[in-house]
Amino acid sequence: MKCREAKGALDRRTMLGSEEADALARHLGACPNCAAIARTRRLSRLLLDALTADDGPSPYFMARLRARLGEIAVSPVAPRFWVKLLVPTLATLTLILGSAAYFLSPHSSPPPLLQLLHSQAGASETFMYLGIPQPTREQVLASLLGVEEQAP
Amino acid sequence: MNNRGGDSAREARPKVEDGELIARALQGDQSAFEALVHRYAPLVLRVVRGVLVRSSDAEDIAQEVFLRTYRSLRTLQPGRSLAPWLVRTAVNLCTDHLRRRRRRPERFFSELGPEDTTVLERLLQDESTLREIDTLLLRDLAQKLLARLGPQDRAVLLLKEREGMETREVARVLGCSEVAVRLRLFRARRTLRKLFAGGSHPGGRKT
Repeated sequence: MKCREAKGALDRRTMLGSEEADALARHLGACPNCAAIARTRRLSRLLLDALTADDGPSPYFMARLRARLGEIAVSPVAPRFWVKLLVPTLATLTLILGSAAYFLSPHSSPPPLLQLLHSQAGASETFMYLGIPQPTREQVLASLLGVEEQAP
Repeated sequence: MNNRGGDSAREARPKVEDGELIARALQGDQSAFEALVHRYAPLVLRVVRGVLVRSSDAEDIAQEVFLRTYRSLRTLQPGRSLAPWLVRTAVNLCTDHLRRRRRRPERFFSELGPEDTTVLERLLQDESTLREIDTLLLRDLAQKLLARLGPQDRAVLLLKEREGMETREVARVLGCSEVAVRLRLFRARRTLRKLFAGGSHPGGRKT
């Protein structure tokens, strides 16, 4: 066995047949360089074993995990992106359409304060309350018909 | 993936496949997910402890691995083993944890003391003396030596040497190329060889 083959065999150490394992052992006995590599790998494994060997999870591991899982157990999967987007989009659209319908409606009624004043007090007192002069019948008609007021 | 340096292909097949347990968990059966946790908790903890080297947060991170898995159950490919996903998540979380920890002013005493050097020399001369060495002492030595490797190098070494994974498998699990795995493995082994040969090197890489 050559050094290159020996390194490959060290990588496949758990899958070696008895013949290959014997050849590797002979090579390691004769080649100090490969023997040093083999020793380093064995020691590495020993250290990793020492580092990771433990009695497994603590007794509280499962209980704590169960509690944390309970918090998200209602829905194991977060809603998809388009579902998350759908709700605010629909709400915004409803608001825009509702506002447009209100402002563009030809039969929109006057604001509630003016309605109240008009019903309680009559037109002249409403104008007085608002602090603007009451238009004459002719002025109202002219304004409705789009006729400009003539200069005296 | 196996337990003690063997080959993943030789691991006994579980009575109930991961896919079936995942399907049941998705239907709201929490006991099915708990069965998965029982099956893979030792593996996840080994990986977390191996990559973190020294940390009391190992169980917290292992729990986070399972919580992330639970949230992502629907995205997992059916019929595949859960192990690669868990190992990858564990390594990523550990790397993030170590990165955050590095920002904090924390000191690690990774220099080898005379006691450590004695243990190492004994092991180098005759590995059969391992049984006579105190477990805690050996673990302390392992922590000090393996802390000199970078987290990714350590993860590759762990998956290759401890879990007995093939290079291709390690690359798939860690989401990198096979060349990168070989490079990291080479770097980790070279560092350890130097440490075994010369003992402590002050100013070495610390996690």
